[in-house]
Amino acid sequence: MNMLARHNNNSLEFALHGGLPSFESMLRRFFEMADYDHVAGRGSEGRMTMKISDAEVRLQLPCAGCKKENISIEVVNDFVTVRVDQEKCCGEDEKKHRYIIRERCFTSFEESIKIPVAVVGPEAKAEYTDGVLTITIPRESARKPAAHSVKVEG
Amino acid sequence: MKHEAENKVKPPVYELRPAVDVTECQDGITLAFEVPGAAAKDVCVEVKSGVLTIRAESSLCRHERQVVYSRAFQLSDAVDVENICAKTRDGVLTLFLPKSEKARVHRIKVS
Repeated sequence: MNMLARHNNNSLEFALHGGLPSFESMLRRFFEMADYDHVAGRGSEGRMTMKISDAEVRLQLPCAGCKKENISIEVVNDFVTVRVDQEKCCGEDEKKHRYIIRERCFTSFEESIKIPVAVVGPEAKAEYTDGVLTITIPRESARKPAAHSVKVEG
Repeated sequence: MKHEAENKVKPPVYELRPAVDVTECQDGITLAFEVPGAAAKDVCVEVKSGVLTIRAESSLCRHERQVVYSRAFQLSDAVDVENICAKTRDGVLTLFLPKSEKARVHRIKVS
């Protein structure tokens, strides 16, 4: 027995109160699914965002439902590559449950970004909180030049 | 003065519809929304006039606006609204909507 109907923008999209969806509701649903830009994480633009400050470069990648063990990050010169393996995170409960709506995506993905400023790759730090991976890399220019005193011989 | 404060313009937000998986089991329905960047304190779940609404304010920004996830579902009488439970983990908001007693399947043994 279906217990809910989908609502969006205060308009009823399709009713699922026990009966089959009408042809009109199926059409609506089809066009709604094609409207990817309004669904989180499915836009044409990349998911990784970059913010550059005087001291550091901050990258953020939303990847809800992942486990931090399944995320690998590689910094090579000014290129940062993030790989997320999601197959390991799902699939256990699928046999017990019947899907009514299935929109979440569990495929692995890889995203690379070129950093337009010089950074110190080995000092990069990353944390995964509330489904968002944040990578912080200090900028090369933020480093204080080391002072060397030179002894005058003679 | 009070009127001015009430009319204070809220900062613009970037509203997104979160992807959701809806699954049904014997005891009820589970909804799993992807709301990355939203902690438990940033999530609001309410049921009003039979409509379940979720709103999650994310720490993420897009086009210099705060990302806010929102979505609504019409519930049928078969949902036990009083016992809906919600939790967030790793950016996934999971709601469990238990079936009301009248919607449960009661098997009667024939002797």
